[in-house]
Amino acid sequence: MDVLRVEDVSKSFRGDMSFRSREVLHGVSFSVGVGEILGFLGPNGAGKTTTIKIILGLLRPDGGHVEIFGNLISDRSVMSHVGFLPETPYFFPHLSLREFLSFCGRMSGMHGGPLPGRIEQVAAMVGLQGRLGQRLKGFSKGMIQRAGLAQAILHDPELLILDEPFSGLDPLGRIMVRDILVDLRARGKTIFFSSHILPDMEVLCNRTCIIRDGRIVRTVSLDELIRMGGGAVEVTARGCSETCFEKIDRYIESKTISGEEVFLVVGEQRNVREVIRHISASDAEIIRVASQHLSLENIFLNEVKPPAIPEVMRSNREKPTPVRS
Amino acid sequence: MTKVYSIALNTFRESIRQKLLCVSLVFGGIFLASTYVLSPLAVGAREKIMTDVGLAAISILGVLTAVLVGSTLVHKEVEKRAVFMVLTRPVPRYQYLLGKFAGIVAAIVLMITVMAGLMAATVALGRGFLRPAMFAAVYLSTLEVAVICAVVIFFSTFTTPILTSFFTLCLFAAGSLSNDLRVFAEKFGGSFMKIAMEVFYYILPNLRVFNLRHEAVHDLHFSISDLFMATVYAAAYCSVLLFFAHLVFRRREFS
Amino acid sequence: MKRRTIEIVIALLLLLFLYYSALSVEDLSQKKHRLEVLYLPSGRFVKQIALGYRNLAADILWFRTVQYYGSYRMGENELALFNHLVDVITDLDPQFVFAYLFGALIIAEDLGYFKEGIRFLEKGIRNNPNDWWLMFEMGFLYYVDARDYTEAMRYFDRASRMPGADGIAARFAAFVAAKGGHAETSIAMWEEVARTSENPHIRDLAERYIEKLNGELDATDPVGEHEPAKQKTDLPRQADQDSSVY
Repeated sequence: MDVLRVEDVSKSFRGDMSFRSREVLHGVSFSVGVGEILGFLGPNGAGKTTTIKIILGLLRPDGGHVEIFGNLISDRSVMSHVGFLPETPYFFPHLSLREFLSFCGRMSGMHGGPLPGRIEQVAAMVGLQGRLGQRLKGFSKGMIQRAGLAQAILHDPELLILDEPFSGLDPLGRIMVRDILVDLRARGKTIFFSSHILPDMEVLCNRTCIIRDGRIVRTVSLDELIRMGGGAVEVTARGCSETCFEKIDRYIESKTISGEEVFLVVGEQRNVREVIRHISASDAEIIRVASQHLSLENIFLNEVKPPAIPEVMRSNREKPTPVRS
Repeated sequence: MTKVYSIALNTFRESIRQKLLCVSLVFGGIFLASTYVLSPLAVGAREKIMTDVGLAAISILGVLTAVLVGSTLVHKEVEKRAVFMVLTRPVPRYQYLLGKFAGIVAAIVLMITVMAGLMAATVALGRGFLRPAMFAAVYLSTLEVAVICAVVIFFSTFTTPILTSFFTLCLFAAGSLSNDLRVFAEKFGGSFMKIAMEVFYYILPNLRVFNLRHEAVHDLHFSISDLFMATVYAAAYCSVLLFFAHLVFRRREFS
Repeated sequence: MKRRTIEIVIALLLLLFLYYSALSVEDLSQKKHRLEVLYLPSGRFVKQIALGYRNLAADILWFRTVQYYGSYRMGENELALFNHLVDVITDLDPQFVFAYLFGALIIAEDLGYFKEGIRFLEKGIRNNPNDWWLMFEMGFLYYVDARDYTEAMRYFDRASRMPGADGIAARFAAFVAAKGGHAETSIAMWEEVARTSENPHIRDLAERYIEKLNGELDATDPVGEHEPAKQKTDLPRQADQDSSVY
């Protein structure tokens, strides 16, 4: 059974001063299975947050429907199994973290007994154990994000819906959130989250939905991502001579020269040994050998074509030019 | 019901920790203290002035605080999406409104209680008598504030804090004048005017029934049944407004 | 659909509940309305709480006063609080001349408190020293209520000399002077009216009064000891600008 099922959802908004409506979602459909982590990827304004709000019942879809654990979301009791972290969360500034978490727990149907212990536990999980008595108005952006995650996991929900969970976090915070999500996945929880941080998504997600202009344009699974890489290997070397290049030219797909270093992409794994042998023989130094798969970024950029960068800016940003052999 | 209680408690905590409530309380304290300090100047009317100013301060500051705290609190939660913390959980939306209403009323009742205590203390210090009518007047002021809170909750389900405050204060003023307009229409208006004014009269809150200040100041007779009827009226008015607020809020989208 | 029906039913029931509870507090509300007049605080206090909107507060009170007077005419009250109401109104808006005129008339005529009426007008005159109407009404009250023609003449005369005064003031002054036995003064006043009025009817009326008064004087003083009236009067005149038939 799917934990979350979004079926042909469409939504349009009417402008404040006009009667013309603007359609922001066009028949969005996807589902998330038990224990799965589904990433939701898309440029700004693609409809990620709108989709999440429809899932949570904060917006009503014009068409289609959403089911959580097989129930329509109009049945609000189903929300006791859902944890939600909003994008750029804002909580009640005059409450202490303990009061806030206690309030959230009660709202999710938790009662007296186990609640204080659970509050201590989740506060420790998100690294805020010493801050329970502090009012939220004194919290930094990163701390608010952690508090947000704490309230989302407080009632141990089966489904977590996270809107940009990594925003506002420092590198340590990001690693912490990632570890929490990995732990939750290990415990069989289902997670649906949107993010802009592609490496995190790549590491965490079983599948990623790419949304553009209110349409799901592609769903990529982790296996597919690895397969699409085709087993290419990247070899980085220093001090390669022209003779060496001539010898290995037929094995490599591309080479990129940056100063003394050269990045070589070897198309098939069986040719790697030969390439390394030739480089070593020519007295060049091998710095790194790594298998290469097609990154989510490549797919994302391919699906969501970025706007052209003006010429002036491009000249400053340009990386070493790959030389196609 | 525990959820309504939790929301109310949360709102109560938020409200009493806002600077506005403290400022109102300080103002009320200054008013009351000034009557005590200035009372020797009032010659024979010392006790009357203390009660007058005390009851007026309780009513005016109660209503103003209800308008300002209520309108900003609900709207800010919606605007800054703190409301998502409740609405994305298994909580029906009407419970959110009920909780907000109860929390704001509780915060203002606390403020009124403190001010009433201060008033009682100043009257007692001025060697005046604490009459039952004074407490009845404070009770009715509390009912008045509850009605105003319901008005504030109703407006804040669909409009901004400034407009909420404006509409509520207009309703407050119109509610105080509705009887005049009605009498005027009865005596001089045409039939349409009469009907329109009659409808207005019943739609606008009849805040006059919550005013027992004259009786309290002049130690006049008041009947318990009047207090009871005023309570029933306040309950009816709040129920109607909260129900209509629920109808609006249930359909509301949070984009 | 079912949910909507339930909502409509609940809404109707609640509105009905509200209507009946509003009806049940109606008596209380009307009692309060009467009390509001009874316990209207002093003008000074109302002025403070009206902040910058004193005129507006005065207007609202004026509206209530008119209603209150209307109820009196219908036999619903004794007008006992009228003085207080107009007093507060004129405290709030001391230049509200019509409130003084109306108030003093009701206080003196309907309530029969002549002295209070006069005191109220005196307050008006203090606050509006250049308003001829207030002075005129002062004379009118002395004339109608107290039958004190000398005082009435004095006020009418003062009114007639104020800027913007209607010719009626001069004519009333002349008329009550005669009534009060000040025939010479009256003749002088009528002569002034005859001289300055542009209305031929008024001039005609004035001349007839002069003739009548001279006749009366001749009858009481057959030896002709009286001096020409014009020389006896010491009241300076001001041009009559009006041409009403009075």
